Amino acid sequence: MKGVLKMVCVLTSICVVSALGLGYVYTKAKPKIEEQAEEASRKALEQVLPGAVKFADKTLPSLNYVEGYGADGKLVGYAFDGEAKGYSSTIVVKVGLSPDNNILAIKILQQQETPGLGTKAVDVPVEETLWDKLRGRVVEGGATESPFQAQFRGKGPDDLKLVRGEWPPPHPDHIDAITGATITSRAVTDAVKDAVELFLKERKDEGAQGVH
Amino acid sequence: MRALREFTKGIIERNPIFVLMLGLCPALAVSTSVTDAVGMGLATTFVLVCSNVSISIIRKIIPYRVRIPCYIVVIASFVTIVKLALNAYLPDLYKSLGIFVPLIVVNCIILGRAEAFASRNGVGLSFMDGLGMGVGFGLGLVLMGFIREVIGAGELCHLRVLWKGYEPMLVMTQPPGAFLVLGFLLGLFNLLHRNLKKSKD
Repeated sequence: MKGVLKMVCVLTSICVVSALGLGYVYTKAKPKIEEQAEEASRKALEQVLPGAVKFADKTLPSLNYVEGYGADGKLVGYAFDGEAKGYSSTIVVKVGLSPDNNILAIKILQQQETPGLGTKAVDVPVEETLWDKLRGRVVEGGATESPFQAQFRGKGPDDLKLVRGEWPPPHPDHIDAITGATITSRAVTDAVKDAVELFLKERKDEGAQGVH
Repeated sequence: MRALREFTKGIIERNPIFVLMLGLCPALAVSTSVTDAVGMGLATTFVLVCSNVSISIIRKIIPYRVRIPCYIVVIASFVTIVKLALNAYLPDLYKSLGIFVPLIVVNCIILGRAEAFASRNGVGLSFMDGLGMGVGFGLGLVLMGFIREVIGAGELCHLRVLWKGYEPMLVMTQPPGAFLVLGFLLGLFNLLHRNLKKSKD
């Protein structure tokens, strides 16, 4: 009996001490974590709406979107998220659309595709070598965006067709798939296409009802 | 002197990955790049040192029959601290390590050292043991990460190291490549040990 009591007491006190410690750490870390998440989403918005500095949240019946305004107060475009099932994960994409319905840029927010194949959709090719870095040499003209995502720039809703084996870009009227990652490429294209179509349709419906 | 020996034994003689063969799951999964390997090694070392020290401090009051739950609570607390800290200060690393940070809780090395060492030795020795094992685990990860990243991507710490136009051996960044690299390294370590033994005799 005494042994059982001791077991209960010791385990309980260890749990209490741990819980108190964790509670303290959590209160310290929480604001920082929220700040990071906010910064990440703001950065994504700035990437898909280049030049926008002010953002306003809007809602449609089944889609939330953001209107981005430039420093001069002019509308830069709309940003919203789309998603589709990829090869091994759900891919979430943020789409930036200009007021005349062309894609400004897209950014993949979330994916867990096969490293080296599907991840080419997000990998930015590295031009700089380790030796350049060690010698302090700066390499100019490196890409800042994955070539696959760059293809979406300037495309209209009807140009979002996936075609295989026509690398390198530019292709004015279609998207070229990544070699060895057709399913990932298709998922990204579908996610963008569906989101754009849904956005345009819902905005049209809203406009028809005269609600703004 | 003994403290130093407790530290160094974790690196070669009783390396957690290549000799004790503990913690193979994270070793296979997070060794795709050197940066991930370093991050994972540091996180594991922190948890290992903290849990070894705390368990060594309270080793005399822990009743034998509930020792495992006690160890797990202590280990899980430190893992949660690491997880919160990574999420708050190194979000990119946190994202690429993913599920393997919370899974440090069930890493056999940590529970193994708590049971086999910290529950029987003083605070100082337990600290050195945790540090040695953590560093040994981290170095093992970095070694695997180095081989896999250079061959599998032609990069090191996400910077190109091989010549332009090198066609990466993609299999190395994927699970089969992890098993291949681990197998070869295990063989190498066994060879090393056999030679060491021979020269001692």
